[in-house]
Amino acid sequence: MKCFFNLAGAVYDPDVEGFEVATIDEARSLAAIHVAEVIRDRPNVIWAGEEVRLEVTDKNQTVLFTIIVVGVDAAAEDEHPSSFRPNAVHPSAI
Amino acid sequence: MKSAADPDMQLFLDRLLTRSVLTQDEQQAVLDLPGQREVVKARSDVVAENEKVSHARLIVKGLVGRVGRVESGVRQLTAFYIPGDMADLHSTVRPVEVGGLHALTESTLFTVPHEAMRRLAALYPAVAEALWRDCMLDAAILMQRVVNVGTRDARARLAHIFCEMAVRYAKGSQPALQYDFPVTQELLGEAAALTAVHVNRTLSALRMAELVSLSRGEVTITNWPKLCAVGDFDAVYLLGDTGAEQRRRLLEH
Repeated sequence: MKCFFNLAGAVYDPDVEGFEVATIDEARSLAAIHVAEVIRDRPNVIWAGEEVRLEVTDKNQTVLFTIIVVGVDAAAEDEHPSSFRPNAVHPSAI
Repeated sequence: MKSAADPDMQLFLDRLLTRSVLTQDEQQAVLDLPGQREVVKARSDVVAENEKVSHARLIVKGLVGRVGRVESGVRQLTAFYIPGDMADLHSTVRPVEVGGLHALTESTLFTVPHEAMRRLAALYPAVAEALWRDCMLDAAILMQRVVNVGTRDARARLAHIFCEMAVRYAKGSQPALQYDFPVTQELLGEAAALTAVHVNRTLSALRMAELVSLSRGEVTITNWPKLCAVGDFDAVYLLGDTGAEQRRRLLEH
């Protein structure tokens, strides 16, 4: 199946050629790695005020799935961040 | 088995002479190396990783890559070999293939027995030195490849590869600003550790910036100085040993 990997938001770059992938899972993996590539090359884009969106469509321009990456500045709340879990088991112990 | 001044060996001799001074006798001894021509199909393995080998392979025609594979099947292209390159010269002294060799296009190889190579090196120390230098060029290219995929962004990675190949495909001292490089976006991705999607985007960006384009297996460089700057490319690792002083013999005999 042919999929189109369209960038929108902070980086606007529609995919006019598309890529053949064997399965939707392959498209999902490829999309995730590609978003990482875009951010690695230009890390500032996630702080540009807009999210980075990768919309993957089929040949009919139907959106199959979307990956959104957004940088969020610290919220002004006097609470523990959601990544703080006092009783959490470290991943290396699993 | 062919022998006695096979024209294919002239390609390799020309390459050695860019970095080493050899006498007429020594040059003739290189040309007299025996070997056999072998034509390999595009997209086929020439030698498998870790395979024990008894011959070194000179590329006469086509494009061959050195590949490493991981368990998931993902492949990394660590080198491109073009006509004139003895792709696995190092195997002469270490007869186990480092990575595998894969024909990226239909390619013609000239396989030379290790035994003949070792005999040549023993008889002519200056040739041994030339072969050693040639191996070190491979090491320098590999070092740059590691830096490329480890530290540079996608634009720089692809620009650096195009610059490297422009210097290696050059006939004289000037880089080749137009050359055949029959690689797909997938293959470039394997060389630059990028997805084909990112290669496609990055090639577009390089073309839009009027630096370089790749179309139907042909590279056209439109702005060499700027492409070098984008690719963080300095040709010293390829050419730094080609000056008269560097080519002189170190071994006396």
